[in-house]
Amino acid sequence: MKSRITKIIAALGFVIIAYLCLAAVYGPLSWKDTSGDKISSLTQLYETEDNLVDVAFLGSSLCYFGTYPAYYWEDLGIAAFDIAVSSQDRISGYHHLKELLKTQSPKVVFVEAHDILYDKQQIIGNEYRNMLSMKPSINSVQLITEGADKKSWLDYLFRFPIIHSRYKELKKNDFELRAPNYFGRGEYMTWVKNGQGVPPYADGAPFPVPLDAGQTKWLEDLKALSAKKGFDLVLYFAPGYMTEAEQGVADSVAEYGQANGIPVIDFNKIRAEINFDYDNDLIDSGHSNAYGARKMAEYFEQYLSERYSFTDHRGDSRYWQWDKDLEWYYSAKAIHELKSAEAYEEYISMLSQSKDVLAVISLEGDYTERAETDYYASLSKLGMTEEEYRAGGKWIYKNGELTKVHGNDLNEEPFLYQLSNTETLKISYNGDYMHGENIVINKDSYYSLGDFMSILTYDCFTGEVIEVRGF
Amino acid sequence: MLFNSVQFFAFFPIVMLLYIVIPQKAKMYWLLVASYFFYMCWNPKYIVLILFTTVVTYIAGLLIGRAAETSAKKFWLVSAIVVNLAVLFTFKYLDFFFLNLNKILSLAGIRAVDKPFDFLLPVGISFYTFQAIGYVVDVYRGDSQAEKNFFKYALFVSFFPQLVAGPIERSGKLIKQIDDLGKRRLWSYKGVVSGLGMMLWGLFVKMVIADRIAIFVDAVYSDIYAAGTIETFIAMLGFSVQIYADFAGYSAVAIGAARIIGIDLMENFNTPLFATSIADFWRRWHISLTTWFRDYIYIPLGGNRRGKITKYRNIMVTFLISGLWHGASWKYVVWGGIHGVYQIIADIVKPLRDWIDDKLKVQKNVFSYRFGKVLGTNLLVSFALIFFRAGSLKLALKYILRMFTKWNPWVIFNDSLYNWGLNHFEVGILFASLVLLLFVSIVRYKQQLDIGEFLFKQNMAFRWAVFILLLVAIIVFGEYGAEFASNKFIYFDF
Repeated sequence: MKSRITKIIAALGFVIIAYLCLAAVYGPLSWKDTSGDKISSLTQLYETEDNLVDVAFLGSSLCYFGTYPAYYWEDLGIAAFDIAVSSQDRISGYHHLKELLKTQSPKVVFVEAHDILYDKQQIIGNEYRNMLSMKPSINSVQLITEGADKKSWLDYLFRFPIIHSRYKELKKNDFELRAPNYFGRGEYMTWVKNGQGVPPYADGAPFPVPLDAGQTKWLEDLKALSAKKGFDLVLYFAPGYMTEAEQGVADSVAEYGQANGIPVIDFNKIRAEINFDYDNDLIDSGHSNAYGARKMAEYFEQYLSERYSFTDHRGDSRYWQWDKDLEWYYSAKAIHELKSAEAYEEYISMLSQSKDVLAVISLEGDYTERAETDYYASLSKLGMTEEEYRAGGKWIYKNGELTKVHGNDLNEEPFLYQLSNTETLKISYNGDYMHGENIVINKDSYYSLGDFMSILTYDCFTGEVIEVRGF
Repeated sequence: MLFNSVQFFAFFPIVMLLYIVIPQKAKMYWLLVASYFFYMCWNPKYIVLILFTTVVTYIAGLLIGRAAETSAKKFWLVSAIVVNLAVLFTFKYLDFFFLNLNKILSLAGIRAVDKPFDFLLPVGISFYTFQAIGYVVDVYRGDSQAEKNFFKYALFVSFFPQLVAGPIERSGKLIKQIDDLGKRRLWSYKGVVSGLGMMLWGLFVKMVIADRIAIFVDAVYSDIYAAGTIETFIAMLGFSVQIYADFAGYSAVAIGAARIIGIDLMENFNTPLFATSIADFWRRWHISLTTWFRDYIYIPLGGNRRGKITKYRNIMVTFLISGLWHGASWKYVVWGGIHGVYQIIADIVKPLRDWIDDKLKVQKNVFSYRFGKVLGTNLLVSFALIFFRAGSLKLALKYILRMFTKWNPWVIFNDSLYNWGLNHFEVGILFASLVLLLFVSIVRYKQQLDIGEFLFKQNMAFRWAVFILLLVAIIVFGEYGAEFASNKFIYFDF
């Protein structure tokens, strides 16, 4: 009997240790979507304390490109959150919203209704993200059984059959406990302008097309969820290109909304009201940039102010992620402006205004001999003296302070600077600006070969190299 | 349902859990239900075939057992064999037959004949058919009693761990154990632990080694005109290791799963890579099939008792049939034939070889001599396997031609070998795994213990560590899941 109990305990011990080992392996291998290209805002939702979100936005890329919670926070102190993923379909949209409602109680949920056009994910990568970034629960099982092919159910439930091959692509971020943008509120920020004009079917009388059973069910499910969870449902269509058929569906949704007391906002139809510029407020035919998102935010802010009263949460420490999200927005905007600068004068000027940017400035070669490379006027604004300028060398510029770190002396030891736990910046001089690898992070060179002035910029907010520029 | 599928990882624990808790008398029926479910996961319709084979051989066994006259026994035996081989022929060889018939007819200027049926090859048909035929032969010879309990016999034919790719069990051994299922508890702590070790090792060998090598081998075989001597030579050796790891891995999982249940299946591989001759190789490779051919074909033909010529004829017949058993294609027949020729030549030149060894005073009890023999045997086996792996006989010949005419040693030095699907990291994983395989093979060779038994004898902490390392290696580095397509065991096709 004793021996039997020992064996049972040993077997249980083995199972527990095996489970812990697999859990440890699961962490790095788990599905992560934090590169910013295709956002999984669930990661950010799971980092959020319960019952903070005032207003939620649900939808696809049209939602996360077009809705910046930072604006609502900056203007009104409203805690908004985008529960949005690329190409979100009806099934994943519904279950993502259910996931949000497990921990949050928003007063209003704005649903970007392009979801209605897709019954399932069209791209396998999006399906992986939707199925694998949700924590295991009844809701995630329902998402899998409703949204994935039957033959893939077990793969999604066990997860390892899909994620195990990530061992081929593991990066530093995979071994960190938190995603780099865990504080984000779901938005994707961009200032790219590449709009393609006013959509052709925005004007004219509505010509609703009948909704199919799946589309009607989705609307009914959202309505029922709204009644059950006590939030106000608002449907909207972000501004951008729609086919004739899609516009027909949008018109039908508007009819459905009218019949069921659900507000429906079609931004294409009120474009004049918000002064939407289809050339400059979009990054392509349908996704808003920061300028377009700003215009929609102003409309939504007015909509909310007229109908609801929200507490201004700014200053409340529980809402630190919204503060940080706004900071991120400022940082991203400054970096965008920095990268947009072409001439060195403008570049250095933007550098002086960028709060979270660390710059390494290198002056080498016979730049003082040439009129076209007289950088001094610009660099003096960062605090460089003429004597320093003429002597050459390398400087670190951060938070408005310029510090000389290397004098371009062959006998001088390299200057080492710890950018992060794992990244060491090495600044040195080898006497040849045409072939020198004089600015190096770990083993990667960020020196602009052949240029007299080389500037490396590093985003201290995200911990990533922005670029290296040579002038 | 594949052993390396998520379905099996759900299926097997459920089967075991219920197997442990249900009453003793119900265990056999539960395993029968589980076995039929296991087979039906592949194609529910073909359960009719296995049922048919079971019914025919069950009745034949009873009739042989009851018949008083030898002629009657022989009649029922031949009838059972003919019916079963007819089924096997219909589902496995009909295409091949019509293909060749039409070739002959076209040579004679006669119009081609249409094939009357178009079937999908039922998985494992060659295995369970041979197992069932073996049973009726055993009953005929008096080596086994005719089994009266149909369900017991049905489980013998369909026992899920060995149903689709063996080992091909003998009735005397397996039916007796099935009989014990209803009488006493068969599963034990030792069986569970060593069976689990076998299963993990089998999955590791299959998923981490075989399927990883397959990436390189498949790439070379599917694009031989981009390959030279070096790539074709490496792929030739690679396939030899791949097929061993694939099939030995499958057998280890099968034996391990059965051992957990408490059923002892026969050994199927005994370090064949260490074989010192072709004859020795066949004593170590696919043992259950080799002994089946020995007992039911080679010996009944007369074996080696009627002179050299008859012996050589028997060897050739046995190996040609063995080749055909592996697949309905001339390439398999040639592969079998090559092995027959190897054995005959080895037998003929043996006196000469012994004479040379004697004259040159070659020491035979030294490592270098054994190593040379192992190397030579492996090269011969690998060469023959080109016919086994290539898409057709014609492609196999082209492959060999390429191997001997496109000398390109520089690819070893310029990294281009990494363009065949395995990058540096993958090759690193492969080599580390092969070192482990070599270690386990040496343990097997020296101590005559399989990995399950070896691990059971070790301290618990070491055993756990090995289990967990294997589990993690399988889950992380195994070739399976969404991106993996060629995840079938090679021997499922036979």
